[in-house]
Amino acid sequence: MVRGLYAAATGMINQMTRLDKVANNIANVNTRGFKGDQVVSRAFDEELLLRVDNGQASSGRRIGTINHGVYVDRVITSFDQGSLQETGEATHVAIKGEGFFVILTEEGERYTRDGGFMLDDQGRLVTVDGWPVAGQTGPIFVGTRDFVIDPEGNVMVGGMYVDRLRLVNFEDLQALRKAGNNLYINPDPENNPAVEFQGEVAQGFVESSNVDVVRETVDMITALRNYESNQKVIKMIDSVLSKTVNELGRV
Amino acid sequence: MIRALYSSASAMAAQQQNLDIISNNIANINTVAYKKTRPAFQDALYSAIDARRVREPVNLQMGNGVKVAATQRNFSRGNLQETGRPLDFAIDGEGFFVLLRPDGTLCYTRDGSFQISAEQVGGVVVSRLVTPRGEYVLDVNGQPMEVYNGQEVPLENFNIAVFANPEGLEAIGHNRFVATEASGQADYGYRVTIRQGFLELSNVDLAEEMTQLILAQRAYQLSSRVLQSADDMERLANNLRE
Repeated sequence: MVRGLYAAATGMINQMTRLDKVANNIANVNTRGFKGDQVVSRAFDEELLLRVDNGQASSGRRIGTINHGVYVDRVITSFDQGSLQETGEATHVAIKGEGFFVILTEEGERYTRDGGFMLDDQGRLVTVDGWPVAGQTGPIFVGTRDFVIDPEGNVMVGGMYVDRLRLVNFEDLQALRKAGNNLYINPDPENNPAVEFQGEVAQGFVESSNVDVVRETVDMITALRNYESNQKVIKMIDSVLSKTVNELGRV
Repeated sequence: MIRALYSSASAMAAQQQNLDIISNNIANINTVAYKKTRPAFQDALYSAIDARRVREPVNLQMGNGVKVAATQRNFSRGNLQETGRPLDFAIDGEGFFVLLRPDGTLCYTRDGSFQISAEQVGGVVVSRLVTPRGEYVLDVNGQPMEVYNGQEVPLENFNIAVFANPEGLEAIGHNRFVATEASGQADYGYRVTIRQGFLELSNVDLAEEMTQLILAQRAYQLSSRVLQSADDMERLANNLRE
């Protein structure tokens, strides 16, 4: 009985985390290049119940298995393509297919799908935070807003090749971590090396968020209702316990 | 729980800001040479769901909402409208007119609706080109532009400034901009066609703004729904014990 109390509590905590996920996904429904998260829940390990006679477990009979509730096993990010939205700005680039732009931040390389770039005072292609976008040998100097990026990522000014966007993909996308500011970090480059980029890029477009609001709304409703059910279970167990304590022994 | 509350609150604040920007764009739909702005959203920082499990090689981090990272100004050209007024000018291409403010500093504009200021210089009356607010329009030599016969302006004398990053310019109101560290220094003497008797219209597209408005409103609505759900959960937790 008291076991059930704890199991229901873990259920409530789990549904709470799912609502956190819904809140973050919906908050980023207009964020360029955002990839939605999903929460994977998992039951605690099964335990074998034995009947204990006279304090002797060895002579006991197997009753069956039980587990004590649920926990958040991991968060997976859905890297599905977001729809491309036309902006007409020369400095905006969107990726079609799997892959990332490489951003040269102070703390090292970061990866992003948000191609809403701009030029800085030196004429380099940068993110809205001012970090340079990587070309083949460092930042990309364009110097003018009159440039063309072809589907392979070659940057051309007046028909002359200037640089090429560095685009990467990874063997295991789930090994990447979100770092905020629309950036991703690869925490273990040794075990998850960058692989060749297979997609193409489109200039004058940005990728919108891939969050599906219908799914998120459904998740929100189920999270709330499951939370409520778990709460009901706790209240029920509580009232049963209350009967045991207050009424059973009454003379 | 607290996280969901704050994430959706951050989203509502961001969408509110988005709405402010949209309404400012729409308000300036008839402003000469107005350039529309758009917010750039970014996801906020991520934190570990369970601090005891940070060493596990699986993803266990949860986002904390959204923020407006920047407002980006779109410097695409507005249509040119013929006004027939000889003191209206439009830049047919990139660049800005250079203005000299009374305090001696420079600012930049694409709004070419100028006026004449008659001034005594060494006993001679000179007609100078000024903005309605009295700032001189500078020529390629850094001197105030002069107007002859009340309407003749040597178009090739206009000093036109360009910037490496016009998005980094700071808008100071009255259609004017000043250079910042982000925009870089102005590059003067840019050659571009100036059209007399024309004005540049605002580049705001009403259909696009309405679409953005609907998106902003729906996103706001959804986040307020999530906030409500988070609140409901809090209520349920509170009612565990009566």
